[in-house]
Amino acid sequence: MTRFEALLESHLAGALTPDEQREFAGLLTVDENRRVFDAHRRTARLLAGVSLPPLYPTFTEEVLARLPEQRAPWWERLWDAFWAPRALRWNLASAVALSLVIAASPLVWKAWPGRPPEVLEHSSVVTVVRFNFEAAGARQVALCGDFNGWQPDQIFLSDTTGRGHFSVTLPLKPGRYAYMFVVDGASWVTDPRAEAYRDDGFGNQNALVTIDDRDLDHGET
Amino acid sequence: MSGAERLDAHRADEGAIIARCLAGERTAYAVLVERYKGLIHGLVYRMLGDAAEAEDIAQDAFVRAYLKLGEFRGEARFSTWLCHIALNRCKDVLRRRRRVPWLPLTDEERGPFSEAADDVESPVASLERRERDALLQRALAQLPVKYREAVVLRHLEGMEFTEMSALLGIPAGAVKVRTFRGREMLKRLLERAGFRDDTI
Repeated sequence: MTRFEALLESHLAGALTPDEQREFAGLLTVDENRRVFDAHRRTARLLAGVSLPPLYPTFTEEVLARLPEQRAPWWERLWDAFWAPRALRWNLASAVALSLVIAASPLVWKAWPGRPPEVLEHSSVVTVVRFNFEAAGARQVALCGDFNGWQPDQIFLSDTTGRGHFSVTLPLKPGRYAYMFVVDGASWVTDPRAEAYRDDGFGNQNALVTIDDRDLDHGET
Repeated sequence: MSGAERLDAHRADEGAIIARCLAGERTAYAVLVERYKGLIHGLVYRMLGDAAEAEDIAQDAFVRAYLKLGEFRGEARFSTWLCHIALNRCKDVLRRRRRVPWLPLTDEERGPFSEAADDVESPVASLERRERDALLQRALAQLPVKYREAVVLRHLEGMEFTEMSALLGIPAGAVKVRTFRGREMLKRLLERAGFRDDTI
């Protein structure tokens, strides 16, 4: 590889130092170098414009379906066996007895000597939420809401199918968030499939999504 | 179903997600698949040149990565490690092929959304784009694998030389050489194929 070719490669990668840029500019005054440079630059641009066939929307589900089943280790099976739900027969007497035990437990617990201090564990977990929006013909769909200060130019949905099925995933901590979609940078649209709504104070409705700790276990509401 | 769909992920952090997968929680892997499916599918498609096969091999690469998660040490980025597995799968497939690994893509092979661009393109522009893409893909498929992977990673996946070096296991200087030579060959192949565009 000649010095010119090495510099050309770095130039196309945007990785030339100022000194190298000067050296490269000097080499480009040679007609043959200029011709080679123009041809490579055009080929690179051509490659950058190549489109990809879209992925099937079920790609991820199909991957998960192909994952092999894993046999849980013995201690997990023992644990499951211990905690697996079972049907219980009950009557009024046993229910009253159980209620009395539950009611008395806090009193016994407080009176018990040497009780360890109560520890509150703050969870730092998040739930990844996928926002979907149908917008056939739209060039661009953005998502904004409480989670990003209502900035309409930060979170953009992608249309992987090319047919207006826009989606984006977002990690969210437990809480209740209002949000809107912004179509083509101009139209603010309320999610028609939101789980709840509230007035935005301007005569429209904001969509709402609620993430609570139960979502961490169940994944979907 | 509400407009907001939750993916079962306790933590957005990849290390934590991998730990959950290793603990047997298969659904946690969906987060990683969602994140990198475009990257891996693009890489595999460019290497193999067949849409239907690319989807299958890309899925297979994700499955293999899942089975090897215990070997991932975090020394490279997870995406780089994943690309390494996908590239090896592509090379396995290409080794088994005994003829030029390219067939013209039919609409059926492109999948049910192949006409997607028609929504915004004129029929003529759409046809020209497909012809150009097919010609490029055919030329790519004729490149020797070591040059093809360099061109694909650099120009179609947008990787930097340092990342390519880690992925391919060769020095960055060698990566530059392969990329340059690959592009040079590609240019000649396109010229030989009578590429009508003035861009070559």
